[in-house]
Amino acid sequence: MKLSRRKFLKASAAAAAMTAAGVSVIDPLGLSEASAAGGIKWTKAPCRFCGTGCGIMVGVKNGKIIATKGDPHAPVNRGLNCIKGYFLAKILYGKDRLTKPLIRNNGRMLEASWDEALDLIASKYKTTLDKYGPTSIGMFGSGQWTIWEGYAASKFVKAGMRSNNLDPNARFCMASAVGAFMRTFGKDEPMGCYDDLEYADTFFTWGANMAEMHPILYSRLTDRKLKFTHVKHVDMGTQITRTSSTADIMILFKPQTDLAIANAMANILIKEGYVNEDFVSKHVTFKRGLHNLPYGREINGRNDGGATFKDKAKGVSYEEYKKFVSIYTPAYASKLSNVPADKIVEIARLFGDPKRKTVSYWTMGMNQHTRGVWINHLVYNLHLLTGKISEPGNGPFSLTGQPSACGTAREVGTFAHKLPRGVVMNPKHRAFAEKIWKLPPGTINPKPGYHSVEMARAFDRGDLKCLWVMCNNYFQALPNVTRYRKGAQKEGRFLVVSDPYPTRSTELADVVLPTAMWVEKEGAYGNAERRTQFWEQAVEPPGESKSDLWQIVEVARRMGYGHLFDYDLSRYDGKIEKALFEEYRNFGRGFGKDLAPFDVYHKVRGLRWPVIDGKETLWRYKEGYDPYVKAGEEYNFYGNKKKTGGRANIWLCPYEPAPEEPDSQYPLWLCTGRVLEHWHSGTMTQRVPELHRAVPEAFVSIHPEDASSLGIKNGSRVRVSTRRGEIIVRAEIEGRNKPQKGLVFVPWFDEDLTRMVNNLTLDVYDPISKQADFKKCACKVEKV
Amino acid sequence: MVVSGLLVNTLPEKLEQVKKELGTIKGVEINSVVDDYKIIVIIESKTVEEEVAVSKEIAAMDGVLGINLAYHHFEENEADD
Ligand code: SF4
Repeated sequence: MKLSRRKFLKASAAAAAMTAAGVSVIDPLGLSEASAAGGIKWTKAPCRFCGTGCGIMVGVKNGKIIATKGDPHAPVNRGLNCIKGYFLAKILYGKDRLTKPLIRNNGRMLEASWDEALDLIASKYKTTLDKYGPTSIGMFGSGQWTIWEGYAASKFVKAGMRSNNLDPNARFCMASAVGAFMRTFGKDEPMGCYDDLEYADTFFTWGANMAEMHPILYSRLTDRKLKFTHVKHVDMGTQITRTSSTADIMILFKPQTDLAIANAMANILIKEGYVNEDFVSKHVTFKRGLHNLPYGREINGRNDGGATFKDKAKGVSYEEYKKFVSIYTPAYASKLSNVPADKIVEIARLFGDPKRKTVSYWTMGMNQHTRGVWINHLVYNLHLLTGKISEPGNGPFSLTGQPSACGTAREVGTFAHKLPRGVVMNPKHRAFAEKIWKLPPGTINPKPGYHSVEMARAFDRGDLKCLWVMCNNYFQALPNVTRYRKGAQKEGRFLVVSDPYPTRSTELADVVLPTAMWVEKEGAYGNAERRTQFWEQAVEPPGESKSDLWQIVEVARRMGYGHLFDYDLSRYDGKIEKALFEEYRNFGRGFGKDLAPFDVYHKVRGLRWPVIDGKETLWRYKEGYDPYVKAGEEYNFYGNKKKTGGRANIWLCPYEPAPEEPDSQYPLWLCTGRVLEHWHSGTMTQRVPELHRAVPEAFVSIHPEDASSLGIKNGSRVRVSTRRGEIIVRAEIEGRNKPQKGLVFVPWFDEDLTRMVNNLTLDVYDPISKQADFKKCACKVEKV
Repeated sequence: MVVSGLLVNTLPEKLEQVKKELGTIKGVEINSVVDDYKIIVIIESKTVEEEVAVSKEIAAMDGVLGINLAYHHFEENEADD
């Protein structure tokens, strides 16, 4: 019996791997039946971790997950998962799961009933709201919320409390991408999809370590490259990573000078005749905003204008644009960036080659940038100049780190200025939301709320008194986090944290709520290619854990906003999730974000919106692919219909220095990021002992020459310090990440207070997107 | 017992070298090679921890572009003897 079971499992494993490799296997053991006989029930779900959105088959036996496999029917990953697939089920079963609400009492956290916890939250919020108004309360949410959780939160805060103090951790992650998408195309999110990976001839990766952060997409990229020898890959970044191993050309640039390189590339495209003049004349306009922008610094408790910054755009001519980029000669960009001028020319020509399809991928290297919106613009500029956009294999594509950064944070609009459709500042958008939400006109507050960094500053100052952090680890994720951790502990602050596990945030909380995660509830995520994916509940949450959705609705009811969530559930199969989703669909229908009915998503492996007449859209804005584009139009960037008649905007954005650059006191650049084994702040992955042991603590990667001049050896204990704090970690030389000389890298998953890299980072931001820069500040490294 | 099926992507010119190295790891079985650069590998071990250690070892090998997991069964407490 034992032998046959072992044989059976190995055969299952081999069959799954072969299917994923594209080999059709005849099922010799009748595996599907065998696994049913083994008592395993399989259900589908998108992965809990990154924004790639791989499909997973979850195998449940006796109420517990005992197996997972890549979903062979999922178009994203075709049967494969990355190494994090090992931990998908394990994250549910960490030993220290929170299972009961906790309330702080004289400094100690005591178990409480749900009634006590929820009543306390509702009464605190209510009294604060009555006394200090809607700017005194807030909520910090997540790109890991399910779609209906984000939607319920938006309704609770904006329609219920009439506040706009709702912002997601996605602000730390892709706000710059959103800002630039909106300003260029009038609509958020990539026009293309992952199918581009199989059509492109040239790949550009900008500030993205796809091999470790989006491994499944990277393996699609390497598949394309290994099967077709003409395919080329250019990797652009400030350190050599695993992703660089497939690069034909590696562009290692000095931090912040991506702005100059991209402008120089545009200059070369123009000078050497690579511009698609027909496309530019029909589909593009040119814009210039303000330059010499502030950095969102706080000076003597006041903002330097970052929080209130408003860009002033004006139209300019093509000639003015040409003149503007002409100062970015290869020589000038080379001087700023340390990249040889001929390399810049070479990659510009490769980009422009009309016979090659080009796709650009990027993540945090471009978004976590105090000029993040600008560098996003500068990459769109290249695609627009060459007309390489909105068709198979051609396009700019920002990847996302969280599983529903797109589906929830961006599409539902859980940002301080957003509504599910449009922005709070716009009276028409408010009226539209008020109609769908059945609110009296004038209910929604027209003033944007605090965005992430400002929210922490306001909590520290005391302007914000009640804060509910849900589905993220704010007090580890914030830049310059020590300051805000102290702020949260000041008198008169009330902090609620909902999480499945104890974290650096729950330890500061006055109330902790135990949360059901992933397949412990029914859910929906939207991945980076506009694919909306649903899953059914597969197992019961532990103890008294409840979903974020349940928690939001219960507090709303206790505050007197029950009417916002009173649906006749008999019309929705008894599911509030369905009621919320069906209501939410009204916001996008006819506005380019059409979603399919709730029930459809439970049957399919996701659909990419807009879904029109049951059909998904793979490439937006191009005739023949996007039903919103009429015959004869060729392209229509219809998000800009009113403003430019459907043209996309090329923006004139200069190089400007980083807010803090290395100097004699702090001579090195500090860059932070992730590692393959851990996901974000490590809340989930550090609970998995195997994964934790794999990469147990943060380290600092350093260039061998910098190390030797500091007398540092591989494994030495070193102090990394900045003007804001210090950490003690071990040095890694010639490890997986190979930083350029003058730059060090520290991952951010480690929650140990002596190794938490956000003790060091700079809490300023891009004034347009309000996204902080976790990739650049000045530091010092010393042997201890 | 913990069993996984993986797809190991290699640089084609390093395929043989990687195969050889895989052969030296305990609990690793090469099932087949697809497209001249993908090795189908079965790993068997007692605990997920061992399994992860082996996967990481494979991922770190020279010539390996990445490893992908297709199947993972992990009833660790299941009687093994
Ligand atoms: S690539 Fe991302 S979505 Fe896919 S299995 Fe890995 S972590 Fe999950």
